Amino acid sequence: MSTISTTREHVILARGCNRRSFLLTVLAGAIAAGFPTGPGMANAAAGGWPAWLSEITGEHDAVVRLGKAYLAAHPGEQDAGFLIVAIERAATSRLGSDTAAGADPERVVAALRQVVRGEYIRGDVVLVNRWILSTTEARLYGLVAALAD
Amino acid sequence: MLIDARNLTDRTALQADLAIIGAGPAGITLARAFAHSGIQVAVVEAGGLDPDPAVQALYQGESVGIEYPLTATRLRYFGGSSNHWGGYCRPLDPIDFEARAWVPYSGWPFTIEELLPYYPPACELVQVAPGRFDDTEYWEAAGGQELPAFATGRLRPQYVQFSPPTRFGKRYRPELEQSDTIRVLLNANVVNIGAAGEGRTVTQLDIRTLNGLSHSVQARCYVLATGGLENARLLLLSNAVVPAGLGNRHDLVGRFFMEHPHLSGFGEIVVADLGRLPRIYRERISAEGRSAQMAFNPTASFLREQQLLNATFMVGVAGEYRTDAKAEVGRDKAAAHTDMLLAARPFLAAGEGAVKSQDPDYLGSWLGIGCACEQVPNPASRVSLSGERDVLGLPKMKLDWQLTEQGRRSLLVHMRSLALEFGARGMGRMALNVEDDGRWPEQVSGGSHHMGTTRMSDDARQGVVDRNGKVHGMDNLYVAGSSVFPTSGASNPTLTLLALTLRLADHLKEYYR
Repeated sequence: MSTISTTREHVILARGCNRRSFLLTVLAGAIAAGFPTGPGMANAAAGGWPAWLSEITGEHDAVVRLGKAYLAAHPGEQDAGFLIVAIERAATSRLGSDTAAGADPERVVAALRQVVRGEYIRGDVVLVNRWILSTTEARLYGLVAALAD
Repeated sequence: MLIDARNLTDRTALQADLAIIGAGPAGITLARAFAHSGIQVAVVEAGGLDPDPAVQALYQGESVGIEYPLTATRLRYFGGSSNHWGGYCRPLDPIDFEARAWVPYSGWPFTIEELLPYYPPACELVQVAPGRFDDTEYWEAAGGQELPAFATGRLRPQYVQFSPPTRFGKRYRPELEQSDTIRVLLNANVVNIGAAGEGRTVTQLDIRTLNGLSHSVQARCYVLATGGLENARLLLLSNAVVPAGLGNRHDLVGRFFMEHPHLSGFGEIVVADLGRLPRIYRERISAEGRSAQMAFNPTASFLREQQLLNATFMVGVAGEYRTDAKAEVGRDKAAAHTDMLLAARPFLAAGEGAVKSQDPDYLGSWLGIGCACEQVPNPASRVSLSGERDVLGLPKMKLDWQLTEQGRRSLLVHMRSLALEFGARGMGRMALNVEDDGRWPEQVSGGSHHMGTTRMSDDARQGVVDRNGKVHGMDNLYVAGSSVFPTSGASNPTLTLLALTLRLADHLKEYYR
């Protein structure tokens, strides 16, 4: 993905930063890179959750356990900012002219359901603790885990 | 008429028009096909009417490849291996008959159209109503549930139907017993297929009993129907005239042994809402005398595109989870299952309330998965003769079952397809328990499906028998059963071997006309 190199820069930047300043740095980087940013990311930067995240993920502790496994296997995706950008970008692809960043959370959730379904259909999947999961679904779990830290 | 060879006068010589070696599904079916034809039939069966450990021990041999139980996967008595058959019935797929560039040694001498007329009567033999193997509309109506279209284009639904299962010895014994033209010789071990004319013509079957008697059967025509392992062994040990064994001028007899590799416990699927998984997906349903369950099979287009072997998957509910208790599987596995159910709940069930209103603590179920996949025809996977001998003094069998990397890779792709289909339709999530490490997992086993050791081809250098089942280079010896399959497909072989046997019967009736 084109965002990988940006993420690596973010990981480097993150050293010595506290979580909030790091997320703000990510947000700035994402804007500079032209990625969609919006309420989800702003919420994350503010220490809150994107409004759509709770609707699309299940029981917190179970999600965190799976999410940590995903993050451990994908060290390049350990920061919440990257994951939010990637997830909102995927959702935007299903929202037509809108961007996920500015869309109603319910619409984002519906879009993410379509994204996940489409990834299973295309075979865009990853292995997480032996589970075969769509990439975006796994990132959702990873995001919850990242935010829970 | 049933005759116990142990009670005949020593050196009895029976005469018949047609001699059939083996009273399993193929042998009994072939004999019945001649019941009212005026043709005198002798069926030579090594066992009696009931299992006998001393007789069954004659199936012992060496397994030198992938471990294979030679005595547990077949039965040596009247009715043969139908006595422990599971009853799974489904025709082969059209693509199974094709010469596929990516499958070495593939291609039957004919297409599935050649067998289509024979599948319905084969179904009747095993007490299954014909057809409806791929008729989703029929099973939708029968089950009263919509069966949504598959999402990924990788898999398609097929409907495996279940025989009661038919025990051929029990079901067809009265007919054979009462026949004036069919004699079934029990406890009669064929120890040599005698031949003349440089091995072109079978002259007689030499028979021995475990109580020390010797007999013979002479006929105009002979059919070997002793199963996919023993057919090859009998040809190989009948080497008095042709040192390599009858029909073995091109060193093909016994080669290309195929099974349907099964992998138990290779994965599990968790399902939060069984309502999303139509009942026929996970259990048998009945309609109009049929009993069927859906199988997941790869589409022909996906097989071609990805150059894969065929496969069949079936799933069934293995346990359930509740919020107040763990299921019976190991703690780690249960924890993994419940985590997945809890985490993916928004994808797998609607709303936040209980999936089952009458059972608010229900969390979800897990499904076990059964698979059977096609094996690449492989000349190194073979039956040969052992240096050890049985109590009749005959060389025992040596089986070297070999699987290939191509088959393993193919199976892994299909496993992934199953996960994708369940994921795409929000039915469940699948965990894969096998490593992609280049080796077949240790738990690989067979399905007691013995195929390929006398494979069929129009070219004598590629097959032991021709398109009619006649041994190449011989005038009056035929082979019936799944040993003639050039490729295995991923369907249980019984229905197809019966269809082939009925086709052989038609061919032989022309021979006798």
